Amino acid sequence: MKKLKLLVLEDQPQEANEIKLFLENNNYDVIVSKNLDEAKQIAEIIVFDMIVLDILINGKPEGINFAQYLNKQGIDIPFLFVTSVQSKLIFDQAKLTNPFSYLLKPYNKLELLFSLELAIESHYQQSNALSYQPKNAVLSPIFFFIKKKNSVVKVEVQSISYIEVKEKYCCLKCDKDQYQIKLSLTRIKKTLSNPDFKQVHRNYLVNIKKIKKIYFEDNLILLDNNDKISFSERYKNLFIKDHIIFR
Amino acid sequence: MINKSLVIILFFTSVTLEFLFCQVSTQTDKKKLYQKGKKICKTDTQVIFCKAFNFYRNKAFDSCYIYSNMAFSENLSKEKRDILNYIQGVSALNKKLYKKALNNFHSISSTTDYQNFKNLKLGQIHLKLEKYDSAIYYYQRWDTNSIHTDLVFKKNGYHNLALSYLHKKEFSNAKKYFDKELELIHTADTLEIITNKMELANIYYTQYKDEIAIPLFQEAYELAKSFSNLELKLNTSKNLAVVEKNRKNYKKSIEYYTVYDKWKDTIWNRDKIWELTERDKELAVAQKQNEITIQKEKLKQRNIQRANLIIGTVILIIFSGFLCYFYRKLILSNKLIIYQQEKLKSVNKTKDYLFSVVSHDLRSPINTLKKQHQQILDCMISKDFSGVEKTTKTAIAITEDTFHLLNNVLHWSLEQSDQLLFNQHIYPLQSLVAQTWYNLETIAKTKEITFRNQVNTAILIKVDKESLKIVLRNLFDNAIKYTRAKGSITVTTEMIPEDQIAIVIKDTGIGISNERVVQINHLKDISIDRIDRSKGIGLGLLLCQTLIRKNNGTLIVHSTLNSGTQMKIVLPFVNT
Repeated sequence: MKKLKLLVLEDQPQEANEIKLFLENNNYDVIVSKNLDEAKQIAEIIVFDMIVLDILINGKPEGINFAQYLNKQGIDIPFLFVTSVQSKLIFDQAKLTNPFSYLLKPYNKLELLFSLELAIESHYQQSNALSYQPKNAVLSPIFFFIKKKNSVVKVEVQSISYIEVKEKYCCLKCDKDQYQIKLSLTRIKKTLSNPDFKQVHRNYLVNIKKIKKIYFEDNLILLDNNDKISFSERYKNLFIKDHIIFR
Repeated sequence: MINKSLVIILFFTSVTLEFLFCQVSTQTDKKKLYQKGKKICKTDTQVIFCKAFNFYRNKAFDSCYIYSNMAFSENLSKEKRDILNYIQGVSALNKKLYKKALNNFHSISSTTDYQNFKNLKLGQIHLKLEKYDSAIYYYQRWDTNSIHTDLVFKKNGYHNLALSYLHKKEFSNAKKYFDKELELIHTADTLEIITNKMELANIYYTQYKDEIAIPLFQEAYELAKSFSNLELKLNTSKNLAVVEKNRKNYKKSIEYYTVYDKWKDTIWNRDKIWELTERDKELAVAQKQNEITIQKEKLKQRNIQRANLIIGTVILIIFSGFLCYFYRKLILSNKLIIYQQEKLKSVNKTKDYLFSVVSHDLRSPINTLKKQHQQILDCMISKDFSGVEKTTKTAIAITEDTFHLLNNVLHWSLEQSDQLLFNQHIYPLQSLVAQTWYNLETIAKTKEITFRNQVNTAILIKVDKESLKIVLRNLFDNAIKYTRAKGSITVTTEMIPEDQIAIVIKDTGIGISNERVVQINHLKDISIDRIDRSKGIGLGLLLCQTLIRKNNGTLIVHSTLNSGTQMKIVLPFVNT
């Protein structure tokens, strides 16, 4: 499990501090940059999950400039504006950069969190997959974005050993942690479309990279973390079919 | 003198008669010739001869002359030659080619049956040529053989012979032949009798045999009186007048002269009348012509008038069309102006309303804030920190309230000027309620009001997020305002059949009177310029109604005094 990395462009130290504190309290990693150049430099070094932009930096609409820069560089990171600027001209300019949201200061804290969730949702085009209920998740090829209280965390797909169906939920078993998400196994399988994940049972999806040993006779799979998973006949046959090496 | 005048008259009369007889003689000639010509044309096939003959019959003497000339060039029998000579001679005579005629007649062979005719014609020609001796010779030759000649020719011949003698002044012979002619003239033929008598009288008169001449003159005069020929009447009366004058019988002469004048007048009148009628006719024709030209002119004028009228009408129509067009345009622009005026009016009302809201509703909280600050200052001086805390909390509450009011004003003005962004999406309701409440938590806490968000997390609604938040914010605000301390506010949802969902906000407040409930429920039909601010319907509820309507929903208020109010936002339900 990893925290989401946020870049905040804010020139007012007090407000920067406030927003940094608030977001960190809600399980986000926050890096604040005080001007456009600094932001550009940081963005080159670190891959962020989201960017929160104030528009007016030192009296110049650097927030919009940064958004334009992101679009121009093809940096595919969702961003949103949090600003006190209400001028229609600026707003229209900001709108042209395709932000995920445009929040007015003083911002409603819940709304900010909500907007961040919406931004992830829309970025991966899975609307209402995350925001409205705890244990919801957004799937991307590399990460699971999972709602945890008022926050969102991401889980690297590669770190998952296996996914197990538990009643209404799916349980993502990682090396150490496990997460419950409210998604069907078929949906996960379909959205992941990752060849590393193989269904071995009606209720199990296994990351084959994490398999230590397979006991075909006993219909058992032993994983790296020593978890044991049953291997159903039906899926076993399919599995063998796909992997000629086992014949 | 006397003789001269008489001779003139005589000559005049003789010429007329001569002509008359000439015609008579040709007519009788024709009949005999016809038979012979027909006979020849029947038996023979000489085209040119027949043609000449036919022309002769039809009195086309020119053509006859030419064709007979052509006929001569062919070989012809003697008889035919004689006939041709005859018809050509007659043609020439008619054309006054006397020498040619003479030649023709001379070349008719003397053995033929036409000897008589030949002599007669030759006499006639010589008379015409005034060769009276030759004329008398030929006529005498004819006279020796005249028993076989018919009546008309005889009359003619005798008359001409008498005339020849008259010209030769051989009066006895002239008288003899006139008498002979007179014998032949039928008694009923008054014209001929009169002329004959006159000739005789002339003969006697020139011989100074007045006693014979005068009665003859008188006889002719009397006969002429009862006869219709005016010229004869004129001549007879003039002759008598001259005669009487010569007799020195002036009275009678004058009488005859007057008669003569009368006849002359009559003739003149006849001519004159004819002339006059002619002139009348001409005049009438001229008048008619004039009328026609006038009519034409009138017609022309009328045409011009009509054309002018048409042009005028067309111009008028075009003009009226233009007028209509401009009038319509004017009306349209007027309509637009009126519409704009109405809009402007309502916008102005909105502006006034907002001004009044701002000035009135901002004044008191700011004033209160000022007092609070002074209070804080006082507390600080007296080091009453609990007082500071308390006052600050109220100050925050007031500020929050005012901020909310300002938000409403902003949203309202944006909504009214269509600047409010409106994007309907599907959102989780629970989250929106929580977010909205989050802003009010502090105020609610000061009143120790408990808030229960009992909305199921799975409920999704399709709304414009911001507008719904404004609505919820206002309704929560009202609920907090009218709920006593330690009260509670609950948000639940309620399914309504036919795809609707109601967001129910229930408080335990003081409630609203029925009157005002009705007012609020009817607010959706009311525009801002109709709101009476003194009745306390605030901007908040108006904004709520407007925005809910914009989200295809309705706001329903239920309330019981002193036990609480229930606000229902009914929205279309989105099935997930």
